[in-house]
Amino acid sequence: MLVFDQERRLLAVLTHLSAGNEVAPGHWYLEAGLGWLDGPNHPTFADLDAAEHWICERLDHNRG
Amino acid sequence: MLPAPFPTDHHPLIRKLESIFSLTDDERQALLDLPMQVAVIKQDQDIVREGDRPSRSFAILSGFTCTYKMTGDGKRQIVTFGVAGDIPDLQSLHLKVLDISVATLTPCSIGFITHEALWDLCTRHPRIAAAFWRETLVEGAIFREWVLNVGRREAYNRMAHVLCEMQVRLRAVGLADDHGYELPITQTEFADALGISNVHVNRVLQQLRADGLIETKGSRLNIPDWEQLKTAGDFDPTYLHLKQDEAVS
Repeated sequence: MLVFDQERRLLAVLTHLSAGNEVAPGHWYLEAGLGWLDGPNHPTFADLDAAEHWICERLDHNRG
Repeated sequence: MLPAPFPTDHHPLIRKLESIFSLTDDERQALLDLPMQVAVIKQDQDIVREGDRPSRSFAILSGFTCTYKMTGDGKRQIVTFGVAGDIPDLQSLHLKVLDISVATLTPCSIGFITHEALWDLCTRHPRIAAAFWRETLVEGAIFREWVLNVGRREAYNRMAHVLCEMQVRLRAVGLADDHGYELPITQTEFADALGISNVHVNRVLQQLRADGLIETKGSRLNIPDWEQLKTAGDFDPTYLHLKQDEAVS
């Protein structure tokens, strides 16, 4: 899934892990973050709300 | 404190040093007589922490450790794994404040040796002092290789490289055979060592299995084709500086 901001700029790519995944079955995985979301941190999220929350928090934090 | 209860040829420190050079009878006896306080430590426990000012160092007698550092907000980077025979905080003999932490990854048997006893050993046996110096240099070489690995290799190759390194290091102390070894390191721990997420570690391991480079059964890792794994890991064991006849070429 591609995640865009309000100006249609690509922010992140989220992957939905399969139910059989050994690490976080059924979770969403930050496959790639762009711009301020780039870096070594690739968390998993229980649902898309949690992903959105994390992305907003990171953007707010980094934009100071 | 009592000397550690190991027969000569099974003492991990002796085995480690013998993987570098041949000890004389005197040197072997001095190591056997080294006063050691042996402790068994559960898994996932810190043995020493960054900022400590230890008056002793410790040798790993059995089990696996990791040496790590943390960012201010609590993210861990493992900078090397420790195996039997290693003395992960040997530098504290000269550097009074520890700049690393060391934790157990599995239950470990640890032999604490006072700095006083180590100084005495080094004074009486200059070749052992030189071997300890050499050990810290090789440790530095491993850190340099890991910087290259984490900074410049793709995740698949990173993992292959570390698996190759463990094969060579464990074989040097008799803990690996030609086909593999016991590797009780979790995917989360590999993630902290390789600088990737545990989701990605899981994928990479599955791909290495699918490509026939590794087989796993429990914590046993088999390497069906050493040359292929070496190629995948871009692995050249020169940086481990083992005795020529011990190195896997």
